[in-house]
Amino acid sequence: MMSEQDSHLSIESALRQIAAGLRLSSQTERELLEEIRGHLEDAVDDAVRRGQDPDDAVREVGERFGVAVVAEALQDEHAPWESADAIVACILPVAGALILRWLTFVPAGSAAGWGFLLLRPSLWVVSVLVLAASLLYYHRWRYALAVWGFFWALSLIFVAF
Amino acid sequence: MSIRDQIRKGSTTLLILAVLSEEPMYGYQISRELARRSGGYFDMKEGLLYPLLHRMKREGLVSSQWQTVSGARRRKYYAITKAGLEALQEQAQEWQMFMSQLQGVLAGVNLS
Repeated sequence: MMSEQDSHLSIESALRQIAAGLRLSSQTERELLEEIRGHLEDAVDDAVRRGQDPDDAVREVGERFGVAVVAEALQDEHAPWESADAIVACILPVAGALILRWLTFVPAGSAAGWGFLLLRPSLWVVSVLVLAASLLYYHRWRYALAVWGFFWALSLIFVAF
Repeated sequence: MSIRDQIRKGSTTLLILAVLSEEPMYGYQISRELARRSGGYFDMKEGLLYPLLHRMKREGLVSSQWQTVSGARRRKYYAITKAGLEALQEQAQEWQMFMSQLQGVLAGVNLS
């Protein structure tokens, strides 16, 4: 008969099998696996409470869950959006920084510098637009601020050189 | 694909929305509730519920929130959104219309 520790190990093995089929960001994978772990643990607990042998419970829960097919379905669901996220995370700050760089040049083509730039409303409009667009896309301040930080880092480089 | 599989595939979103319209639930709870209410008729691989829930979240039909339940253990609860409720109404009406028309057509069929 399987002990609680053994059933835990079997759930770990199911999770490893699912993780092996995922090629997503570490945060996405961590959240998916945490959610799946909860499901498997709840299902095994329920089955054992109903009097099922823990060994059988783990096996049956794994089959019912579809360990073999779920990784592919999760990958198909999340991968396109992860790619889109990465593209947006690159395009938004680069585009914003390029626009900002364009704004730093006066019509004659000479660099206006930060002193001039800071007085132009367009600097703040571009900056706020980059932040707002990231926030609208990601719905998370953490990601939006990371994109915004990247935008400012690029801007400093683009404007300085 | 069997007729049952085809019907299930076309109606799983509706079933999940119907279950969530009563209260927020976590994945395993949704799966149990679906099995209980349908007597296992809509039985599917439970793991396939998650890609579906994640797609519904992306489409704005449900929202999700992690909640700590005991110690460090967390559960992700899904709740129906306003857009989800509207979709539920629309899809439920569509299915009722479909079933009503289907029954009309099948009324003359001898099933014995």
